Amino acid sequence: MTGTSRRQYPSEIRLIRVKCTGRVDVKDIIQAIREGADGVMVIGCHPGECDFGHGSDVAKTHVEFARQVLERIGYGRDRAQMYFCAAAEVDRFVTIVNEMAQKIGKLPPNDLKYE
Amino acid sequence: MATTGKISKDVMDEALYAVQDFRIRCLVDAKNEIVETGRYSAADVDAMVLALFDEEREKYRLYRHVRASGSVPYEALVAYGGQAGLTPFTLLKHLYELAREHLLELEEEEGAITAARVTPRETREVKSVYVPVTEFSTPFCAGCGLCQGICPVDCLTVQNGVLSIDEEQCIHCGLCFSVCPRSFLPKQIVNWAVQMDVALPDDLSIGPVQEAYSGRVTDAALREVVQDGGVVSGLLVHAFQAGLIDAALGAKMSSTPWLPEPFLMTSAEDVRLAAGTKYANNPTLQLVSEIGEYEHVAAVGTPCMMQALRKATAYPAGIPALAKIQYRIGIFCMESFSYDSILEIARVLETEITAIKKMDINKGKFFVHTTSGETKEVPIKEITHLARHECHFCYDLTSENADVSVGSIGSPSGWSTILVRNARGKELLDGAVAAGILEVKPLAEVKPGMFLVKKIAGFKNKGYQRAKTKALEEDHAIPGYYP
Repeated sequence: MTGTSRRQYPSEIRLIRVKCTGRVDVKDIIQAIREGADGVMVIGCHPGECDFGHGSDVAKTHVEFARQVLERIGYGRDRAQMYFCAAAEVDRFVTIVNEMAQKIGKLPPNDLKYE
Repeated sequence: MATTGKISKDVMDEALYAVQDFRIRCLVDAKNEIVETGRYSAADVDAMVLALFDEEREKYRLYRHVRASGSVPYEALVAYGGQAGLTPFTLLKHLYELAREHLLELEEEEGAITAARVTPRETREVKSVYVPVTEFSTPFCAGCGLCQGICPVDCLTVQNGVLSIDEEQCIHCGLCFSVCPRSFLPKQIVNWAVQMDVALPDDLSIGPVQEAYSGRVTDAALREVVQDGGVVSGLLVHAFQAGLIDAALGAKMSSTPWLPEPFLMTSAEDVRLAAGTKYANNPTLQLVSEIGEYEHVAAVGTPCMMQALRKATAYPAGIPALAKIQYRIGIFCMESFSYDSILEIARVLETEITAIKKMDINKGKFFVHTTSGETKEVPIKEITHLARHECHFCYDLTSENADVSVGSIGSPSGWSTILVRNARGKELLDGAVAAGILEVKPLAEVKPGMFLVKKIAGFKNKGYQRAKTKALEEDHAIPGYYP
């Protein structure tokens, strides 16, 4: 709804739509960074509001492990982050995207995107 | 950790390969279930997963090295291993694992690897090579109990030598496959592990042996309850008294006559309760799940248990309890019996099971000593068909993977043969002798001595070869021992 509300948010973000964040694997997060993304934010439904049962809980587990992995290989856990945000929460969406962009801005850029 | 590093494609490739490992995926996805089971804390699971992650990355680097040139001779692999900080041990382990994932083909000559070659297979095509142990182990499960001891969701049960699984609970992480002594067992690897830095011995028929003795406990009261020389009890008593260990895994009789149960000893007094050989199969290693707060642990067990523990040091998967097992005392074992078979033997000998005071195998005969002072015997040949068939898939008589092995074969009556296999075993034995708990003399000075140990070990190995041939003819699975 952010678009239809004509709200501004940082242009650095590339949105990838998934049917449910529960299908986002650790592998997908690592792959995105491998392909040049500076960071990955996974935005899922609020816990307890999942249509399928526990989709965003699964996503949270995956993101948590991806963060451990990124820390382990020395690139910083903040490159992956899980957020909960409902489709109608326009203000929250803008806030968290800004927050993520700020966090990533503090980390060195990922040069793999130029390869 | 530094977060300023430039992101490297190579490192990301390693990570991408590693996070797709099935054990890692299963453990990550089932983290909540595991924590609810109560065996491992969330921190334990994280540590296990990261340990596996590091291992997988190391393995991928090796694979990438081979892929760069298509085929690499073994010497060059060892040289690479040296640069990359891999011991020959880890190198071999990774090579065998990559071969099982069909990413590499290993060229072998007379059981030794000569080169590794890449296959056309892509890393993303790798499917799980770690299946739950019940999928393959039925014909040859050793009943050691380690899979039950480490299962993150406690879904495996070994009872009376038979393994069963709760399919509902199983998360298919395959950790049981990693530690099972029968799933695959790189003998060369485990032998190296036993010796650490010691050169390979000339004669491998009974594994590496540094020193061989015949010994017995000095305490006459203890001699009453023990088997043969009571050396295992003596070693444990010493280890407890000297503060080397605060717990030991073993077996004692349950309330059912001659049905053993796993027993976690926590003091020298407990050792008395565990003394004496039990001939029925007993899954001692399920106690691994109960090590908990104990920090220094000894394990007493049969060759399969020693194989399991040694393999588990090669494939630790970050399981905290396994790192605490510091002394491995192996027992000689030809085969074990199910409890039903023990009852059958009592019937053959026309003895009530409750009237049996002691059982013994000696000079090719099975003896029972009854409470009324009688001794009855039957030639082993007549009862060997009662032994667990699964045990015929074992080649190891003398617990080749223990730190110190103990058994009656080779020593005179009332004494036990002791094979010291490495520094840890020597430390334990020397300590027990110095403390006056054990008396020993060189095995070379007693009859029948080493000759008989090697002869009987040969019998067991031949039996394994026969079982293997038969299984191959009947087209059923065999344990994956590598040379």
